[in-house]
This record gives sequence, structure tokens and C-alpha cells, in this order.
Amino acid sequence: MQEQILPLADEAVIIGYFVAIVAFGVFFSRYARSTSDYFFGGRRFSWWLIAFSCIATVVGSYSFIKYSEAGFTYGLASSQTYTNDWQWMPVWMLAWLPIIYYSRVKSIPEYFERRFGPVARHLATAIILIYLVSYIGINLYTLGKAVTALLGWPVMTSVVVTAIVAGIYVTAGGQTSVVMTDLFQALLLLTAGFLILILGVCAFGGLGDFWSALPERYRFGLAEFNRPSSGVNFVNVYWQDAFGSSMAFWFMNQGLIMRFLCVRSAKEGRKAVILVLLVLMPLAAIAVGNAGLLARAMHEAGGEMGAAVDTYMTGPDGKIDNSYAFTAAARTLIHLPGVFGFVMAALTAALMSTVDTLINAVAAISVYDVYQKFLPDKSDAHYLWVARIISVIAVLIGIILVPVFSSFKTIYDAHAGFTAAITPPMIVAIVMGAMWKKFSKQACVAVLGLGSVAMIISIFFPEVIAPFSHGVEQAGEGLKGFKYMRACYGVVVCTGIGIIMTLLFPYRGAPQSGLVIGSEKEFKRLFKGAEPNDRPTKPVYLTVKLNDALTAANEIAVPESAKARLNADPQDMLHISDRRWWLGGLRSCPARLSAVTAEGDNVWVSQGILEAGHLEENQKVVIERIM
Amino acid sequence: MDTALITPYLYQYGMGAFIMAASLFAARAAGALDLRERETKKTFVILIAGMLLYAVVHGLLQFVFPFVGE
Repeated sequence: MQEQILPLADEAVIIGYFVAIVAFGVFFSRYARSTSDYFFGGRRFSWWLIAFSCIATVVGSYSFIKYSEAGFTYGLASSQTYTNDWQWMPVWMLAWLPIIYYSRVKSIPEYFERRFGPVARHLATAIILIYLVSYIGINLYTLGKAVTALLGWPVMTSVVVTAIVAGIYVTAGGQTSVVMTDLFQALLLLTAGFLILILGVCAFGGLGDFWSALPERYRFGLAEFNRPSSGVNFVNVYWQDAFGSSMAFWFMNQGLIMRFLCVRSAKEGRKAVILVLLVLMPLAAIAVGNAGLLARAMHEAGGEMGAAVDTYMTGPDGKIDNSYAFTAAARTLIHLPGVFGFVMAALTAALMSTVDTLINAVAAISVYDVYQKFLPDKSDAHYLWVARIISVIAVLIGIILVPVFSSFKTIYDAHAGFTAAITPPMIVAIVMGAMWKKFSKQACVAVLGLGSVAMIISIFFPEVIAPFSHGVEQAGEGLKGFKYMRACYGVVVCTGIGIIMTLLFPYRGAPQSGLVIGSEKEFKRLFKGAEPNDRPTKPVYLTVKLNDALTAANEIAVPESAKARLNADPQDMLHISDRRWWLGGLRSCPARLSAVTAEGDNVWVSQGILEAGHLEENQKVVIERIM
Repeated sequence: MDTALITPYLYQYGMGAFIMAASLFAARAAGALDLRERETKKTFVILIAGMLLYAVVHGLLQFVFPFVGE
């Protein structure tokens, strides 16, 4: 591997990116005035903004490195991990989203306490914090690895620099900063991924020539069923990713849950997830993995490009190191000044847009599920201050964990190993808790407690996983033995524990409406505190006027004509928003319809609405009825 | 057809169809999937269409595109 001396133009682009992202993030700190703003952004954002920020969270810096490495080694089958989430969408859209959105829980552990009691909450808190902090560590490690390959910096230097930048804007601005910077970063990383693809295809002379240069065994969408035993084979990826990573991401990742609590309605949450899974995830799969396929095609084609790729992929030991596939493709294809810096910035964006979410999530759980339990009577400003301190601590712990992940053979292995080992008890408890009314606290505690014990046993005695291995052979000891199929073992064992315990100790208490799957109308009724209004409705456009007659802080009054168009009754839940759609709801907030009737083409609002929605008097706004 | 190609595909979409069907039946039994409601019906159609879309795209990637250009 050759060390890169970065041209001035590339350095300028990278420095410019760092400055812009910090300024952008800190700018939005003005929108974080309370812990609610800091963690949830005030339930105001539009679906498309949440969708883009989700994809920025999905794509970590490890994604570019990991999937390019897998693309080079195994071919197109490496995209399997981005295309196997859909099977969980009925549970997510019809059960989990309504539960977390309408029950107003602030964290997943809080859901566990309300559904199963305090012991379940403590266990859930411990497991989720381990998951989130480890996730921060692996993202920092992979970015360090990439920067080392590209710039020759020491791993820990690049880790510390990017951790400080992400830490600054998350600590300052919280969830609003995360959402807004993630939009920018999602566009940046998708653009960079497709830029490499276009440059690569052009270098081959067209898509057909590129495809022809790729040997046939690298062209399949799914890998071989259970070969090779170690690494990417179909059944390894299916269980580790579709069950371990994907379920953990959608169901137990507090960062993602908080993202969907920011959205203005559950309906918009569903629209966001559909955009993510049907459009943005496939695009992201192409963006993060194509460099590996290009590197493979160039390597096989030989010639000048093949020689360049081989040179850039040669490690210190003189052998080809597949983990350099992304950086080798980038260095071979990019020659224009500044463009290489742009790709580096995108790689950094991928890291920060994932880590920022995780930092914010760790802070939320630490404040709501740990700190407030010991010191419940402090002011909101105090908790906000503590959240910022915890954000810094989370970054520091992530940095400390970097050497742990660097001990794995590949980045893909490191990521797979930790998700398969940590996630099964939590995801089984969440899905059974959400879908099965009889699933009791005894069953939940057993799944979390005994399930975790079963996972620990499988680390010391990996041979217990053999009956679940689908013919995959054990290829290591300890955590590295059956590191992918540990997810299958964990899911089956935890599900078994859950079923047996529920049959022995079924839930017999009062109906837990709002905490288990049920009709959306019932969820809405609980959320609103009155019968939901589902009649047809249309938005209205009015001018904001401050009116002191409105006593409740969240009330607004509209004229009769607007009431008729909205088809709304007093106390219906509305959303008042700046008319500029492209702000994505940044200047907006939820409101309730007052019994008072406004005059003219005006909407009367209280001072509270002006502050919560960051609106101004005489501003044109759009008002929609939510329920 | 080559079993090495079709086995992963059948496993993925067999398991996927089973998980989706079980989830949808459970949702219907719990009242979360009331197809008389317009919004819920739309969600149901999107869920099924999304699964079919992924199955078709994976089918092309597994059985058609690898052999293009030979």
C-alpha cells in the first residue's frame, strides 16, 4: 500500500467539510431549548427529512469499507444485507411504530417498564447501552482504518479528530442538529458513491464492458447457501443480518426510535420508512458496495488499472488486503484535484451521521433510564446539561473500544460478531412484547436474563450453536466461533424461552392498551385523550397573529371557513407549519384547535406556539389536521 | 435449475413470506389490520407490493443478470 500525500485542493475540501458540518450543526442548537427538543426535536419533522436522515444513519463509515471489501471478495451478493429488511415491516408498521409513537415513551427501556416492570427496564437499559456504545466503537474504528489507507494517518488520530467534530455538534444541538446535518450528509455520501460508480463504468468504456470484466461468480445477488463457512455465505448473512442487525436497527436502536418520534405523525413515519426501504436502501447498497465490484473487475481485467488497484490493495506484508478495496478503487479512478477530498468527506459524513445518532441515543437512555431514576426532581435545564456531558462520555468510551474491534480478521466479521452476540434477547423480547398480549413480565425477564446467559455460554462453548448452523462449520473459538450463526441460535433459544415462560406464566392483568398491538383508532384515542377525528380533511393557509386570549400554551384558533375546510372540532390535534415545505417542518409544531373562532384569514396563536414552532407574527403558515 | 442458485432464493423468500404472513394474520386478529379503513388498506397493499418488488429484483439478480453478456 502506498502512502498518499494529499494535494492541497483535497485538503481544502476536507477541512471545508469539517468546518461546514460543525457550523451547520451548532447553528441548529438554537432549536434545542429543552430535553424534549434535544432528544426528539419536538415531533415536527416531515417524512422525507426523516427518511434521508435514516439512510444517513443506516450507512456508516464501516458501510463503504465493509461492503466494498465484501463486494471484492464475494461479489454482488454483498448487497444482500441491504435488501432483507422488508419481511419485518408488517410488525414494524402495524405494531411497533404505533406503540412507540402513540404511547409517548421516551426510550425503549421506558416501554419495558410500562409493559413489564422495573426489572425488565434495567435489563433492557444494560443491553441497549452495550449495543449502542459498541456501535459507536466500530464506526470509529472503520473510519480510522479508511483514513489510514487513504492518508497514512495513524488510526487513533483520525478516530479522535472525527469523534471531536461529531461530539461538538451533537452536544450542542441534539436531535435537530442530527436530523438536519444528516440530510446534508446523506446526499453527500450517496453522491460520492455514485460518483465512483460512474467514473468506474466510464473507465471500462460502459456498463456492458464493466459487467463482462466481472467473473460470473461475482455477479449473483445472493451468496452460496452455506459456503464458505467463514464470512459471507447466504445463511450466515441471512441470520446475522436479517435477524440480528436489521431487527436491532428497526426495533431496538434507540437512535432510530427517537428519529421516528420526531416525525409529525405516525402516518408520516410510515411514509418515511417506505421511502427508506423501497428507494433509499437499494440506492445506498449500490453507493456503498460498487467500489468493491469495480476493484474486482479492474483486478481481473489487469492492464494499467489492474496494476494500480493491486498496488493500492497491497498491505505491509506484500499481500492483497481486501479491506482496501474501496480506497483502492477511489485512488485508481479519481484524478481530479478536490474530488478525492470530496470522497473522503463523504466517508467521514457516513461515520458522523451514524455516530451522531448513537451519541444522542446513549445520552437519552442514560438520562431517562439511569440518571433520572437516581435524581428525579431536578430541572429540565439540569437534565439537558447532563445529556450534553453524557454525549461527551459516550464518544470517549467509543474511542476506548476501537482496539477491541481491530482484533477481528475483517471489518465485516467485527460488525457481524458483535450484532449476532448482543441483539437476540432484546429483539425477541420486543417482538413478543409488541405482538403477544399474553407475553408476561416473567417471560420477558427470562428472555432478557436467561437469553443473555445463553449468549454468553455460546461464546465460551461455541459448539452449542452447531445444531442451528445450517451446515456451516465452526471456524474459530470464543466469540469468533459461529460468529454469524450465533444469531440463529440466540433467536431460537430466546423464542423458546419466551414461549415456554408465557405458557407457564401468561399475562392475566388488565388490558395493556397502547403497549401491545391493537387497532390504530384505539392508539389514537389514547394519544389524543378523546375520540380521534378521521373525517376527510384539507390543509388551510393563514397568517399568524399573536392573541393573548388563548390561555392554553398549545392552542390555536382559526376562522369558521378554515374549520370547515379542516373538518376539525375543538381539541382536535393540528400541525402548524411554515409554508416553505423544504424546511421539512423545522419551523413548525403540533397544536390543538381552540373553541375560540379567529377573524379574517388569520390564525390566532399563543406565545407558547410561537416559541415551540419557531414562528413569527404575520408569517404565512399552513395548518393540517392530524387527528 | 441449479439448486445452488435457487436454494438461497427460496430460503429468503420462503422465510420472508412466512414471517410476513404470520405478522399480518396476528395484526388482523388484534385489530391492527382493518382493511375497511382506507389508510390501512393502502399500507397492506404497499407491504405486499414491496415484498413482490424485492422478490422480482432478487430474482433478476440471481437468475437473469449474471448470465447477461455471455
